[in-house]
Amino acid sequence: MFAPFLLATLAAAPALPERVLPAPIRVERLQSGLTIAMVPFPAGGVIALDVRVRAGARDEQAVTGVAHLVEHLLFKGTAKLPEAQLKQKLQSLAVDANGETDHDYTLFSDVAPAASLPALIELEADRVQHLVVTNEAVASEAGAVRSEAEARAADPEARLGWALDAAAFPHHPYGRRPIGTREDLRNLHAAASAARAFYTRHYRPDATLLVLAGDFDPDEALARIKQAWGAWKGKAIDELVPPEPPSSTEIRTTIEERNAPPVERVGFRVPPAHTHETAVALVLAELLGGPLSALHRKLVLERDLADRVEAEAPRRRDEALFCVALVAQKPGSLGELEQALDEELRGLREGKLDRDQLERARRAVLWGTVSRLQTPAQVAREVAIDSAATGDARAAERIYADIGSIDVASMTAYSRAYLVPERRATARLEAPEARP
Amino acid sequence: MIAALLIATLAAAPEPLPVIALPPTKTGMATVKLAFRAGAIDDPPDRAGLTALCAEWLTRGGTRELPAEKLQEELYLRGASIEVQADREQIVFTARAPASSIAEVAGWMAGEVATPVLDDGDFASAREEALDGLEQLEHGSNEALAAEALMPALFPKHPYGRPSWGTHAGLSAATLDDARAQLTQVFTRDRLTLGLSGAYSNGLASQLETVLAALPVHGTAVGALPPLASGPRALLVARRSGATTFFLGMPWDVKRGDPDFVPLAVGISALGEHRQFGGRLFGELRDLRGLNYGDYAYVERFVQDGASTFPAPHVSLRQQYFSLWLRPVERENRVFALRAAMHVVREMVDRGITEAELVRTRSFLAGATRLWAQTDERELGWAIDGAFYGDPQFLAHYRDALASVTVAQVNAALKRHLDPDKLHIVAVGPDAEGLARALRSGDPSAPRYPGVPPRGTEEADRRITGLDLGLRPEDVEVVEPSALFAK
Repeated sequence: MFAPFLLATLAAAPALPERVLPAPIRVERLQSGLTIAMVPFPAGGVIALDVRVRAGARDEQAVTGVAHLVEHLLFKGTAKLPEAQLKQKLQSLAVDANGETDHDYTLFSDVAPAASLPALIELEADRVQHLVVTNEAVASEAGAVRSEAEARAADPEARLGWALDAAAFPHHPYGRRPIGTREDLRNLHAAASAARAFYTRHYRPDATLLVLAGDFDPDEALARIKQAWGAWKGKAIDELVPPEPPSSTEIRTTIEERNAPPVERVGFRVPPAHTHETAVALVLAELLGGPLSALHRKLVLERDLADRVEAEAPRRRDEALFCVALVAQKPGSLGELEQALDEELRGLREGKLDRDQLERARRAVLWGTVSRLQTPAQVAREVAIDSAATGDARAAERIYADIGSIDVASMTAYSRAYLVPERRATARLEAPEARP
Repeated sequence: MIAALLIATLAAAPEPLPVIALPPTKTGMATVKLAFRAGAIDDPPDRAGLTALCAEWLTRGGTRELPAEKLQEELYLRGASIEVQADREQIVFTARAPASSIAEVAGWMAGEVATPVLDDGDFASAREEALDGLEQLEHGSNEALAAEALMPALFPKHPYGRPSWGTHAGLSAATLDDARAQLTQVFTRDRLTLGLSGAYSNGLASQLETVLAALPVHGTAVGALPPLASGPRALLVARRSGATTFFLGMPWDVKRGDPDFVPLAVGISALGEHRQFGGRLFGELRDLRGLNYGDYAYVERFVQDGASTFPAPHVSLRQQYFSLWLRPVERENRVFALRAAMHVVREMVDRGITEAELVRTRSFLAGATRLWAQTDERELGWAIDGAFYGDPQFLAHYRDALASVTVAQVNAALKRHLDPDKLHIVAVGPDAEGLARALRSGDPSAPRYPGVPPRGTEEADRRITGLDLGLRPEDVEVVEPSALFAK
């Protein structure tokens, strides 16, 4: 359990960073409920503008995949800026524009030279506030969405993740792929009315957050935002999504695929991201799946049993899965890997965590995040997604600040409460031809 | 910023070491790179992958002071990394760390490379991973396989035509003795450039020079490239499932520094590159007809940098090529989509771009160059790759040149260099034999649009449906994934 590393150098390692973001977040809120989060910092003349709507696949009604379809439709133009002109404008402004739909949010991310920001604020205001859904646009984007779904399904570990979600959440929308079910994807060309309904219910100022990061003047940007976005009205529907009923036993599922690598994902249902326990989960992920973890040391370095061991803390609006992925070197050894994980989990529940090990994990999370958040795009995305999960525009600061107060007792309490069989779901990927 | 780029040599040792140093910043992250003019082109016959394997081996043993495991811990606690990237003609080691740690971290990297701890077991595990990488490629996503399969299609019997990390036969045959010999011949001072950027201190280059003085001074000279051979025009890779991905391409003699490079870059960008929303391919295939998720074209070797859409650094080549990527297409429309792409390319060559397209594309490219170099690490990467082509300040010069390029120059360059009849076609998808029959027969392939058909495409669709791809039956070859990277 938590094999003791030499700690001689810990004192020599740099102190904990003052903050993980390159600058503090400034938050403003307009009367309409529209929130603006700004992180200005020197970025070589580049800015990021993210528009985050706090609605995604979680909030869909009868037709799945419609949140993602609406994201695509926002690239099909408006009455003021038809598709061809919208595309030409994005091209002229040199915007790297992208859309992303997950369960809790839909995110439109722009990265551009700083000089493009004023025009971009207007362009985004127009397409977010004035979407026009036509049958032709839906038909052409349905084909693009199917191609996208196909490209994403190419990764066997992604397919395993979806199988685990489906097993763990038979009722809650987190159990299905955000891009939609196969059947709904086949009929997506006929989903225009569902797309209109989703847009009307959710694309509203009180569900929207604008994030600006990089090289810009916050006061000037705010004035432009008020001008372009200030008249937008309406209230979003906050969908009531019933929690997944508790399970009395552990859930297990296996999928078989030819040539599949031997992988197992073990998930535990843990609390939503708005709680202070999110920071505990982040450190726990480092302790269980980071390169300094005892599991990595034992299974990858010493016994050569695993290719990889990874752990990921969820940042979701509702209860979601804390996941550990075990990637075996050879078929047939997943049982051994799972046994080693169980030992680690038992140790955590019994409070056997070493204080120095915890300190190393905290440092690794914080310095790793500093290294990860270097560009305007990375910073804006972190702020946008953390806020979608928590409802707090400052969550990207708060979650990492919480790491400072974590101790062995809080890790033990968390493990006892959530890393237990009745919250556990396991999915295994196996190649039938590799079975003895 | 790049205008103040420092290009110098450190002459303390017998062989002066070229240094590319960006002006240092006061805070933030810093980057140090050790860039070797080396790669798959240096692999001995029957040892494909040996040079990349050596590079990987160097990074596995830790330093003489810090065992590998301890080194990983030290890096991790600092939010720092040491990575190596190996391609056909460049091998680059990169140390990245917060300002407070960069001197230590860069020193560790220099130690790993110049005074390596070479463990036999590390060599074996690095080779095992490279072989696993081949298997994952063969069994993984259709798109990743198609991107790599384009190289043997364009460069058969050539070091570019194999994955940079090797082939099954080459990796299996490589021995410890081969690797030790290769290290002394390729990872030498006369092939090395030192790069620094971000929040590094003034004395860092000299400090590293002391460590790098332990490298052999001279290695083998960078060899001439072998002549290009010809292969099948359509290489179809058989998969059991998924949708069909296409890559098209042709080698060409244009590279950075050539008078036609900038006009051609504008023309190919107007054809379409990632996130270039006005590209013709994207507009015709995706926006108008909804055939797939995206369609892109590139003027030089393009490797996507992780999850971004930006070009990855350190994939420079002396022999360049044009490429075109069609993302997965459903089976019933795949031949039509291929013909539609070919139709767009032909129209581009025959009619050229318009003044309005030129203005928009220039604006896009000038802005995009800012995004491509938005971190100190990326900016340094562009400077090192620029030096490969003889111009470390390439991005600044490229922006200047864009301002004066004309429609006539672009269209003349497209006609001179882009020949649709010479495009090689690589497809990865299910029912490859069915696709081969369709391509050999040249039978018409009408599109199938579920739901509302696009407006105003009837006439063009009729022409595309019967477009002659210029393929003779013997031009089409079907292969299994396992045959692609065997030797």
